[in-house]
Amino acid sequence: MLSIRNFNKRYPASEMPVLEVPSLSLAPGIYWIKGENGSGKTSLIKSIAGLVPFEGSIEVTGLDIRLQRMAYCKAVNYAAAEPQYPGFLTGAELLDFYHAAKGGNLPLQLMEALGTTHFINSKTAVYSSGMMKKLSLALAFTGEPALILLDEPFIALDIAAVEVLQKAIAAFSEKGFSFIITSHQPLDQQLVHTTATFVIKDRLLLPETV
Amino acid sequence: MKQAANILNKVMVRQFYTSNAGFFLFFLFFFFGIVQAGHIVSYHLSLMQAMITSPLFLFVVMTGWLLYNIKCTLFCTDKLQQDDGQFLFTLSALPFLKQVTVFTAVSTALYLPVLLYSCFLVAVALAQKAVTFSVVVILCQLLMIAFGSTVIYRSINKRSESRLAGLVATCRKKLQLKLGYHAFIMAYVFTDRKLVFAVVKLFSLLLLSMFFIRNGDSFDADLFSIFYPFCIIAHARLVFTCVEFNETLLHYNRNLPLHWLKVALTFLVTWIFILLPETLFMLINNQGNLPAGILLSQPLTAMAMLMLFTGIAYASALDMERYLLFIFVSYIVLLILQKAIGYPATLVCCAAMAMMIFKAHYYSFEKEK
Repeated sequence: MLSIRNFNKRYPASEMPVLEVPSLSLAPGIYWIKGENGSGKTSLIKSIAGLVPFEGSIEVTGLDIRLQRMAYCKAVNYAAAEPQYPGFLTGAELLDFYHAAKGGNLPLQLMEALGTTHFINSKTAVYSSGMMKKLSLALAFTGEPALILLDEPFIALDIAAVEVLQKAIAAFSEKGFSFIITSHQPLDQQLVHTTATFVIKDRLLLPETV
Repeated sequence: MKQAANILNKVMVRQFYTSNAGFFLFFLFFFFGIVQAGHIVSYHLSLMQAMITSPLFLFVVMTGWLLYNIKCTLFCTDKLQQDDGQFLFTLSALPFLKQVTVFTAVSTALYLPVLLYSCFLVAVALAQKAVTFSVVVILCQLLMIAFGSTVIYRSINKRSESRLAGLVATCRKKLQLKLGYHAFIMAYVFTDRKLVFAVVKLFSLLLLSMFFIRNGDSFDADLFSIFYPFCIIAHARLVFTCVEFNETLLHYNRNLPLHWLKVALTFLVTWIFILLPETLFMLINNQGNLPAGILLSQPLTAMAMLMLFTGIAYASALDMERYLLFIFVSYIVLLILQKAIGYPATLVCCAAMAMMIFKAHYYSFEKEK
């Protein structure tokens, strides 16, 4: 499902790489990436999402991020840790825009369960951080992606929403969607069965050994 | 109140003068460096004399003061919109009078260079018994300071969206109009960057009216080809903030299957609408001054130049200093090309360069931290 080769991420004006992944191949499933603050989790997720440039190659379901960018971006969805959207747009306008671009289905059930439908027609300028997070999750589940990247998906969510999200991850996983999740909070293993856990240490992505 | 003044001094006043050091050096050179040391006083006295005797010259100078005052005020409102300026909203807890006092002090401190110069101007005018002139200048400066102070006060105490924004929102709701991707950047300009837009339009339309209305009878096409690009360069800041917006609040769009051409087209649509006032002004007021070919190629070159600025903003990784340097270089190259290969070929070169730079830097862009 995901294949990474010779991955190297540096920030502009910095010689030192933030993260190096010589080779990684992941089968479909749910993956949890752990690591200290500043270890490079978000940089990896953003690179896979196509938000930031990097050295090396990344493929999802055989689609290369550079050579087949349009198809790749349909196959990979992303939700940021602290999402921000233009205040003059409503959630509905953003959802329509994402839906038109990504195609596929809207996650109506998830939106209903998260309570997103109650505020979707308001401008994002009046959203709280929790509402903003719920909107970003609705956008991340829009379309028919092969892989959903969730960066710290549980922060800013209330307890009920955390449970709803974990159930949604499990349900979408059964439908064939894969997930890469970075989180400091442990996942509820009763709800979400992770395929593997990785740790970023000393700028390297390593499988966690129990 | 002393603490509030201290904080505002550090966050707004000092940072304004530090980040505009180059701008002030340029004006210091312009006012005191281009004449011999022995002639500085007589040079400035003759400038002041021209202001006192010519209402038109005074109007032009006052426009310059207004543009500088808007620059100062925009710096403050921009600061309030940034993440590290959010804490300043706690100032709204101060009583009305204390807030007004502090914001007037900030506004005065930022406007100080103009204020000092106009003090000398008033002294010279009073020595010549030009009392009405002095009163006009003093009133003008008081209004400038009141303007700055009011805008800062309103920005900090804004409880709800403006009446105009409310009206637009109601209309959109009633007509069930939804903003599409191509309108996102334009909507940003007309909601969050209204003041910058108004200042740029004021400047460029004033410049154009000098050529087409004031000197319409003795229109100089060569001089126009040198000064018209100034109207375009005046948009450089607006282009920069729009690219910045696209790479912050619309940054997640990079995860959408949007081709770079579609993103470029969104920028182009925005620039076409933004340049509409100048284009219409030139078409309406031309009256045979410029041949049809040049008249049509100039607005198209302006659009290509704004696309070039967009590419440059990406190429410079949104570093303002590098960006302005490249803008300056592009202005010189434009003037040379217009003379060397003519207007249509310059337009083609600009458009081709703009698309090449945009394509080369859009996907590899990453803002420096």
